[in-house]
Amino acid sequence: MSVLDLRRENVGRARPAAFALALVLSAASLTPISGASAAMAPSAGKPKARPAQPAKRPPPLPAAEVAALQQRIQGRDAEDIQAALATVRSAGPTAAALAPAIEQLLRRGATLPLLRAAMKTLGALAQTSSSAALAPYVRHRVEELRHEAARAIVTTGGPDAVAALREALHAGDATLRGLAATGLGAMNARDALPDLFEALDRGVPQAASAIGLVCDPAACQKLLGKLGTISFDVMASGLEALLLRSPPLPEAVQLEVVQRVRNLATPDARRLLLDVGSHFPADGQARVRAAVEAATAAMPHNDDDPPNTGAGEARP
Amino acid sequence: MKRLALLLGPLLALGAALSCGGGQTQGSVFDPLWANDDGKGIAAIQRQLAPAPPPRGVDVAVGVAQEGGRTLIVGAPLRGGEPWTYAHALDARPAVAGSVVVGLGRRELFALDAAKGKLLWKRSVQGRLRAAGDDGRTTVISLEPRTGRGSVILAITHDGEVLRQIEDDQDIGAPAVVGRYAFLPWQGQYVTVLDLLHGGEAARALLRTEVSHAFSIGGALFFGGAAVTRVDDKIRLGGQGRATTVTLPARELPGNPRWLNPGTEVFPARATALDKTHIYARPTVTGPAGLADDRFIATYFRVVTGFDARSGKLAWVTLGDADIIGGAAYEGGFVLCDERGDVTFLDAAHGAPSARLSLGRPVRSCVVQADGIKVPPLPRKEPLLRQLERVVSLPDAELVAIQRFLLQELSALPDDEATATLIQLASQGRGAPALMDAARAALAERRSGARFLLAALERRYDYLASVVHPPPVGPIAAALAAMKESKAAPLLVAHLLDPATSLSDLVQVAEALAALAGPAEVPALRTFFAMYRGMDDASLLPVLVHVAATLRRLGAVEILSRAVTDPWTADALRDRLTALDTTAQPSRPSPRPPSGPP
Repeated sequence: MSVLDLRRENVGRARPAAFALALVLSAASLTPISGASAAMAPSAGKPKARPAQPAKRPPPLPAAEVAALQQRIQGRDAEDIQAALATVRSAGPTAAALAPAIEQLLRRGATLPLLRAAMKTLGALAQTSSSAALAPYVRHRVEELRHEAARAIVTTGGPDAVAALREALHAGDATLRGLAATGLGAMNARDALPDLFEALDRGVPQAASAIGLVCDPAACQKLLGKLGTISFDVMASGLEALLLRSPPLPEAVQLEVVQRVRNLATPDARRLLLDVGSHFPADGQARVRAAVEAATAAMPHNDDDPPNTGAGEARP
Repeated sequence: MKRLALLLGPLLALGAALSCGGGQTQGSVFDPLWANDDGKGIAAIQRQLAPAPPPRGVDVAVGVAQEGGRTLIVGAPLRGGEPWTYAHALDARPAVAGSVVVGLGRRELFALDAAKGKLLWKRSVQGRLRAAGDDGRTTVISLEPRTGRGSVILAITHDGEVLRQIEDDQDIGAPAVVGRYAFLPWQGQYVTVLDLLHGGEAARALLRTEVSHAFSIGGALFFGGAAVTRVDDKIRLGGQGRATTVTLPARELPGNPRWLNPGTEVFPARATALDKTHIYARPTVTGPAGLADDRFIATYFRVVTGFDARSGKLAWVTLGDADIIGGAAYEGGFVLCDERGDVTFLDAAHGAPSARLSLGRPVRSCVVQADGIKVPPLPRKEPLLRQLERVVSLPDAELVAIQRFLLQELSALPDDEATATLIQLASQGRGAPALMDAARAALAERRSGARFLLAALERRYDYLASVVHPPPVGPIAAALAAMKESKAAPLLVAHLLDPATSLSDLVQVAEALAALAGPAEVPALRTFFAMYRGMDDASLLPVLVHVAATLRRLGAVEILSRAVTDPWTADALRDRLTALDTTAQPSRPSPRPPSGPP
């Protein structure tokens, strides 16, 4: 699945992975870049309902163009630097060679508009090396810069990014905590599971979907155990992630999830399973799909509830 | 000077009206043209009375309560026994003296046996009750006439016989009586000794301290006001200011409490805020001038502070359950009466509650007389610091003034633990909000307790751990910098980079780092400088200037040189960098100051 695919899906009910990657796109000036998803593959590949198609990586920018852009980025004309950064953002990872120059801009400091543009651009370039330069800005005193840095660092990834976002989970800025939780899920940061559970318990709703994306069976069971103690609205995103993950969780875990949701016997629970059924991956586990169908059929519903469309509309 | 005979009073309708007769006052009582006799007269009276000192008064707490539309006088003997009650309207607070309780309401003046509440006598009068003195046989009463000016003095035996009545246009304060003599303070400087037998002025004491009370305690007679003078063999020196006079050490106390309220005032039956801020002390009855147990206490609503009578130094603090509205000092302690009608005995040495009794109901005002009572003290192990901490930490807006005062006391304690307490008080969400600024200022001045300061710096904002208020980093930084505690440097840079650190704290952190940071802190300082140098924010400017100065001291001048020429540096910062010449490499980099106190 490409980033573009996820964006399209995000138009309707927010999918956990789609939401995560929508943030990435936001950091990358909303330019669909196949290379960006490739750069994220090691960390953000899990949430996808369908394995990403191998994207054809465009060739890097010619050296002369890189040199010219670098010179402009290192110049003293703010407008020209902004324009050069916009060009780099459009080029995406093909302009990866320019990442060090932009990182240097962050390391040396600049005006707020330039810093913000530099962060967006590094997000578009999606180079792990950039995370170290972005990380301090996740703690910037200016809220906008913090958020921009958090969005960008999700796409740059790597240990520095994980560390910065784990720390951001503890911050006083609720938006930042949400971005951090979502980003850790998107980066498949399993080491962050303890923090994500803490965050979930402390009312960071995005932590549910993040946990659903990265949990191992034991952690998934722990998440499931929170049904009833954490509001279903929050839990739904995590449960959905548990059922739509690719590759899927062990069948027994997924069947238990379906059963536990079925046992709730509420309209919201049914709606969740209907939603899961309508997006169930084509290569998903047949018994799980059947259990979802059986559950939605068996659960009581009102006339104005969505019809039971079955799991036939698997994701393309 | 106008002196009115007993029977003229009703006719002129200016003073009290009595229902039966008594002796008419003769002689030049209250004559302002009195010729100073250099204390000879009062000395003679003192010598005359010395063999037969005034008897001790009844130990009793007397409250005014309201029940079912009736006003009740409630008395609780301090030595135990059931409280007594007496229902009678009251126009003013009752007076307790010797062995009687005197009250006045609806034009009826009455006296009760203080021990049992039994009515001794009552008479019709006009005016309002100021105060009374009693020696166990005769009661002398000072009334404010209906006109509100001058005085009516009555001397009445416990049988209700009026011995004397004086009506005068002087305001006469709280009287005392010993045998045939009544002691009447007036004009703030005189105490006239009235011979109740003959009606004339037997002597007059002149004092150089304000006086509006005459009273007896522990078998000794005293004249008091701003200070208290014992009537002993030095009383003749009162006019020269050399009598046995005790004054309280000068201390500014919250609420400006007074030891003795003006004796010429009439106090309402319902206590006011002034009654809740009061000083209680007991002058010594023998030896040099002083206070019993070398203590005096001051109340502030429900807080009681005990002080050393010589130095004025705070000795202890005790917190009551309700606002204290009356009390008295006895040998070994203090007895205090609160709005709930509880009467608590506090040990003079440590302020430990050593006994308690109850009036049985809430009271509107309370008057306590404690003359001969002894209460065994109870130990108190709680150190002064904890006593202070307990009161200062109370989230009670009514107590802010006393809390500020006690915070100063706490700040003066050199103990390391005092630093820990100040950290708590200066932390948002922990101490009383109104005290935070004062606590922060005090914390910045600490020069002890570095281990607590360092430990506090370890704490940072952590939403997941429910640490939603960072420590008071600024004042902690200032204190540690003054202590030259270089262990603080890595902790301070973490707070420097933390957006949860307030801007005001940030300046102090940067200032402290200017003194404490070493080479290990350079990367973090560079990062901070880079992140914010382009921000045109005046509040960040002093922080950046401090950071720049620190970087320069540590030899990291390259980033500063670039910042001066780089177009992205905010203009104001560039100007400061240029002015400070922070780009120049210092000739000899300053080493990091050594760890530990200077």
